[in-house]
Amino acid sequence: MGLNLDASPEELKIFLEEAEEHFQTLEEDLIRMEKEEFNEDLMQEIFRASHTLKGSSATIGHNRMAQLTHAMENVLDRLRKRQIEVTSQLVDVLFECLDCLRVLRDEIVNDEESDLDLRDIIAKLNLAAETDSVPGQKEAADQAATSASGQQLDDGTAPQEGGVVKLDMSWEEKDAVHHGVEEGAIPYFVKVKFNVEPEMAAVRTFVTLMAFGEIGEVIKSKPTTEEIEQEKVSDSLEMLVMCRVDEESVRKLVQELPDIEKFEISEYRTDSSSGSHENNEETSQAAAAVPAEKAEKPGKIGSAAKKANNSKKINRTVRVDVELLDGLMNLVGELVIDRTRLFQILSLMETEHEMDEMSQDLGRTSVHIARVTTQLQEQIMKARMLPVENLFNKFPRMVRDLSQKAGKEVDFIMTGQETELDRSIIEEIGDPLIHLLRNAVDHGIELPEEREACGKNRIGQLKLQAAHEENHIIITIKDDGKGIDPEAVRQSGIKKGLISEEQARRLTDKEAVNLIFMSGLSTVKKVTDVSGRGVGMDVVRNNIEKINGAIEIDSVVGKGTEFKIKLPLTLAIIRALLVSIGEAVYAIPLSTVTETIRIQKKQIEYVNNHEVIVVRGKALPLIRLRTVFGTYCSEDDEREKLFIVVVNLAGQQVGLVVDSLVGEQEIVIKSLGKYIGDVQGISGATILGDGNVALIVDVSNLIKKAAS
Amino acid sequence: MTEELMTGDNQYVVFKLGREVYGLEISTVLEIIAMQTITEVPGTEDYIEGVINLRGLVIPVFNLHKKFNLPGGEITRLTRIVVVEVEGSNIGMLVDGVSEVVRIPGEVIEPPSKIMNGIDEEYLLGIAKLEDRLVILLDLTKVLRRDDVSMLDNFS
Repeated sequence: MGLNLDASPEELKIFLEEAEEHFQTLEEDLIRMEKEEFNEDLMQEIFRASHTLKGSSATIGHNRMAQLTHAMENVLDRLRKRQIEVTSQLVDVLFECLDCLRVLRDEIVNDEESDLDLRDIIAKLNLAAETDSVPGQKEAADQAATSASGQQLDDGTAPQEGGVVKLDMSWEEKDAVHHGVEEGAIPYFVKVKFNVEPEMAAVRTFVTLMAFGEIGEVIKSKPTTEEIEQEKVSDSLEMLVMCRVDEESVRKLVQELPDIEKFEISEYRTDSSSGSHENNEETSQAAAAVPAEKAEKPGKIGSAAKKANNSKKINRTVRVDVELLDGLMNLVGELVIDRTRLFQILSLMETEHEMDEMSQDLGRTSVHIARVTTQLQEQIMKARMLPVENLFNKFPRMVRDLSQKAGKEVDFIMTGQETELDRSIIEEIGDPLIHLLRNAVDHGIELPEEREACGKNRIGQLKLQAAHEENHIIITIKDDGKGIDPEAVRQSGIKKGLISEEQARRLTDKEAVNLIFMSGLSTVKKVTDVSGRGVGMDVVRNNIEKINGAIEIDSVVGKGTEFKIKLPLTLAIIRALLVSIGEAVYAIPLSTVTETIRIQKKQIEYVNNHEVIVVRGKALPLIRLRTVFGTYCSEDDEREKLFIVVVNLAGQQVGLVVDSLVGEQEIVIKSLGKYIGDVQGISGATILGDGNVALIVDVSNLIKKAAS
Repeated sequence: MTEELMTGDNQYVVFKLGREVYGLEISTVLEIIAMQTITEVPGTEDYIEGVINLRGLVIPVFNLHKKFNLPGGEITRLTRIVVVEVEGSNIGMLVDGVSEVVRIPGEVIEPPSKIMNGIDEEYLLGIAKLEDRLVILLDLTKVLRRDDVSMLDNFS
């Protein structure tokens, strides 16, 4: 059944976008509210988000949503007045309400009423709103009330002083204006007169308000959103908007809106910024006053316009289809290959011919093309980047819910949300992160009583950090829980038949901890005997390695566990070490290579019939790529000198034996296509500078094979 | 498909494999390129010759001699790679020289019979009897179908 909403598709679109924004704000702020001390600004923000939702849902005719937000607003109103206290039960109810709101929002998307019953949640909200405040709080609440009313009194004269005569400003609205000005926004007083039929006036007024909401923040309006939703509208709208654009842009916006007969725009003075209040009459009278005002104070307007220009630059964005970006990235990949090819041709020319003027010219042009290509590559890669914030946003709520369910107290700290990653990597990394965070809360961090018994703070700490490091992004997840006991992992490994007792004894503690990444260890549902971690850790590692990342683990019993995930900046282009095996050239991702060594054949020793060499006192197992790729021939044994590429993934090291090293190069990863499918030891292909195809070595696959 | 063939005229790219003459419907053929360096992919079926770079795309190359168990298949001056599009993927096929494009009327095409030497009947659409020769028409989707079961067995 359809919803029968009272709004056009465009209006619905605006509504949906805005609603999502408000949901996000609510989600973030509710968590802050629970964690932090009472914070007036925060409470106002929460209240405002819910209030706006209520207004706009009523306007589009979504009555159920309006009903629910109304109940929510009652609770939030009492909260901000400190009449009730923030408890985790209350936050639970608010979160539940938020979930319901999302369902209701989806009703609009699907144009179908859901079977969500609101009675239960509304009853809970009403109950929460009616709960009496705690005695201790009452005093504070009273105090807040008196101070608020005191402010109100102080400001009683303010409207006359300010530019806006008809809009009575409350102290909080004034505060919002002050705050906005400090951040570089300009307050405008806007008066609009509509030319519409009375029955359309409410919608028009609302749309106009919405439009201003897009370019700035509407501090106050007359009629207010409530009045609009109750259809208490006239043919005019007055509002105070904080914008980051110049007056001309505001003017343009209004001109583009339909059904507007005339309008006035003027800059609103805050008390602190204007010493003279002479023009309070003018502003409300006529737009004609504005140019005069401009002439009067060129300096001020000029600087304001400059400011606005700066902020305008930040906001100049275009939506681009991801496919288009992928296509561009592919083209740049081609260019990268050709750039390499150009240099090969150039060096050929240098060696075979005298460098005449023309080839020198070619050289210069090649260098220039190379530089431009590099820049192009960087810029397009940047265009594909998103801050990890988009991903991290949903974690605080998740951690909160999880820890509550597990009866644990967790202080979740996120840093580096602004760090940028290729969007395809962000898509891939979500699940592993969720998994690791869940493990940390479920198994890493102890119950509050246990923690106190060990002499730790009863509140566990869980840190999620993203940072840029050289050509990589490092994401760390660190808890101060009980850590992973290497002995327990050893025992579990033996019990599951993954390793022999002999092997287990020889493992270092670090190697033992790394066993949790083995697939056998993870099939057990509740591995509480192995300090709990394990379910699906092999999947986590596989997912990360699939995108050329690596994961490391560092755990100290009793102190906590740290996972370090190293990710490439982009999926499409990587640096690789080119090696030759027989006639063929193979590429080894440089992120996995720790070093290359040249050894004598006689240095090879045998352990359990496996070839190893001793590097700095440690045995390094060898894998002959010739054998793996089936190009083995007897003359291989004759070679006296061998090249070893030492690769490292998740703490495991092996040496790959190759014929020779060709060089280091940026390569573009291409798939082998569905007709060839998955090939053991090969993760893809790339095109070399000479136009030939080289295969990319799948290091994680080789290491796994060596281990088994 | 077969019915359609029987009625209308269609153009076919005609090429040689050993002593036999084969035809592919022209709409499936993207281009015919000269022999180039093929990079072998270890661990694949032996009829997959390897991969080549087709203007920045990495595409697999099939050796039809090996696929059809035909004798010969040495690479000569005349060897060409016929690039076709099957189910959205580009694939190259090694052939012993491409002779021409011919128009074959539907009525001269006969359903495949079992007397064909070596080639599985299922790979064929039919046999066209032209004045001077026989042209074997290939059913590309069947020839190039990934043999999922056997491939998966190989890799596990």
